[in-house]
Amino acid sequence: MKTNDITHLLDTVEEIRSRDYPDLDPGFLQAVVYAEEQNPDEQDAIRAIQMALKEALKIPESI
Amino acid sequence: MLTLRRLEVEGFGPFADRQTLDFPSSTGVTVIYGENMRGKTTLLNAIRYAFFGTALGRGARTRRLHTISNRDRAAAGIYGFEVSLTFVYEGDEYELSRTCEPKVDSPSRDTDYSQRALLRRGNAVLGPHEREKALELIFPNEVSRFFLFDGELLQEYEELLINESEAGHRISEAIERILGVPILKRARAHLKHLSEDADKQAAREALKYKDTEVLGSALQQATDQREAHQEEIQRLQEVLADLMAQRSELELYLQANEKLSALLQERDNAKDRVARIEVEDKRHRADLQRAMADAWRALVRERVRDARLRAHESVREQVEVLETRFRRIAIEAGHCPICDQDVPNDVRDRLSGTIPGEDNDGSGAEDVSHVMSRASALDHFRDSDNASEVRGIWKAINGLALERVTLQEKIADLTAALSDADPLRLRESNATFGEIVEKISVVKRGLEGERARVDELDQNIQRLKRKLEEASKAGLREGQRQARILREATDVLSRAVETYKADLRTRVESTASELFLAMTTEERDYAGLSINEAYGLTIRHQDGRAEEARSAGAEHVVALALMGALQRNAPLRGPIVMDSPFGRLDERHTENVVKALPKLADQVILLVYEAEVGRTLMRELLGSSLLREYELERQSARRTIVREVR
Repeated sequence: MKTNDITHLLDTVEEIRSRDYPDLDPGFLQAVVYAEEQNPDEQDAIRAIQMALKEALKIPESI
Repeated sequence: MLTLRRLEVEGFGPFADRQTLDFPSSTGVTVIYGENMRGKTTLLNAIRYAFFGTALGRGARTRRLHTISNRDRAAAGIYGFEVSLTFVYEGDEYELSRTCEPKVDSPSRDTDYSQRALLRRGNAVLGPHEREKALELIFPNEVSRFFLFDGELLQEYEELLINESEAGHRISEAIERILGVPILKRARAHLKHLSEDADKQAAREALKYKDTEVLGSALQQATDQREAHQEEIQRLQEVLADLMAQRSELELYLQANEKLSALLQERDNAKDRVARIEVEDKRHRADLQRAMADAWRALVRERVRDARLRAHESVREQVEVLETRFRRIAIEAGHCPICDQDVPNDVRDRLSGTIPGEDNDGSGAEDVSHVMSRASALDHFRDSDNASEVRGIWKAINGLALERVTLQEKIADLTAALSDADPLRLRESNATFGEIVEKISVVKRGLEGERARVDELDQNIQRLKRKLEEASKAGLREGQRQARILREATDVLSRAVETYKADLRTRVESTASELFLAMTTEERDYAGLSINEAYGLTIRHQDGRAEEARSAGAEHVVALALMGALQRNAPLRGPIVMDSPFGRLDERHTENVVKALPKLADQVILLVYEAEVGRTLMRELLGSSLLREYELERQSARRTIVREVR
């Protein structure tokens, strides 16, 4: 579902990530939330998440 | 942000000729005044029709297209209608048009019409697929209830306070939808799905290496098992959804036929009673037959009693005669004929003194045995009186006959009242409803079991994956990293769903309380509203107590407060178009609600009956927030025009 303001959604996700999984790429989670917001179709959303995952894997693990 | 700019209607309800309403772009309220039957609800429906291609009638039922066409035009042989809506969304201007045209000369049903839709964004016209996708993004039908609402339907929000309410559950889902919760839920589900695929991939990779082969095999087995259980969960969920839909449909049918169902039950009870009366009547008649066999005795009882007395008197007399005769013989013969002994003289003298006068000369003694037999026979006659028993049985039989006649009249009346009903379907629906409830419970238990098994397997899979990571094979690292990212991201999203929902509830509760206190006339007594898990709102007193008996007006204000709170806290924002929201409110509440309208949403379009709030008062209450006023002017019973007032 497309929404106008998902700042609060993103803030909630980021707060939990930084507390519980500080090493997890914040950009990946943000991309996942946007993928769901912008793609009502399930397959489109999954494809967008897979693309984001590929990007996340490009980042060296030490970061 | 979605903002409406212009609405044009033609041939739609009472709007025979093309009518246009322009909505100002600034923040505030547009008011449309209209008497009853002028087309206020039709305008709300026109907006709904533009977005979703459907219009709603009473009780939120979908209206037939054929009934929407303007009747004046239809009388002249012109059928069909058109609605055009211009709006702005995320800075882009859109024009959405829907046309309903007849396919035949004299259409009489919906299939006689064809519909066309057109969506223009800027200067580009979107194709059908793109159009539907864009509309789904801009204004999902599932959340339309929070933007386009009929004041009369606000009471349905009370369902949110009822546990296990199907309607309440549907509203809760819609609330979560407008609040954006499904974004996180879908993200969690999709990440979980990808994470499970990554687990399977990790198992396949591990099988390639000798030192991780055993772990890989165990992991593959565990992931296969998990997949099988998940498929079963999927199947059960589909079964459950199907059963829930059936339950919901039956619930609606039974609710709609509640009165008929009650009448049917009453008729069934009456028929059962008539059947029992037949049995009781037979039993009473058998009792009566038995009782009547002795009843004649009651008729001769007095005569028998007299005869018995006379017989015993005769016995006594005859015995006396016989004794006298024997005494005479003893006196005269000096010998007793009874004991065959001589009677001494002194005894004979004494016996002479006991002999009565001439009237008892001892004759007739031969009748004694006859008289005694008669007395004995009369003694054996049962002269008990069972008349009261017979009367009792007759009374019962007559009572039953009267009750049967009354019941048969009642059955006839109920049958007439049930002439439009389908008793068989009603009975079957009642029975099926019970069966479905039972099946739902069984499926839910099955789901719980399957989910517990998946949780166990998940733990096992995580343990195996940790062991694989410890093995740290170079060729496995990429896959392991991918699986770890997905697992961690899934976990973050899972926690985010609950955190976000809890946070939302707090914010909705706070905003709704603020709006409620602005609208209620009891702001000194009430502290605000408290929210439950399903987003149902309860009025809280200053002393902390919950208000248990809310009036219809209070319910109305609470529902409006919820609407405003959702608008203010939802990522998805748009206009509120309200039709007659003051129906259950008194004058002071109405004024408070009008004053609070600008706080509910940036764009509010109010359709109102002028007697509820006059124009002068409306202007005074809204001040600069009142952007524009229209009135719906009657041309004839079938024609309305829209006139800008200010």
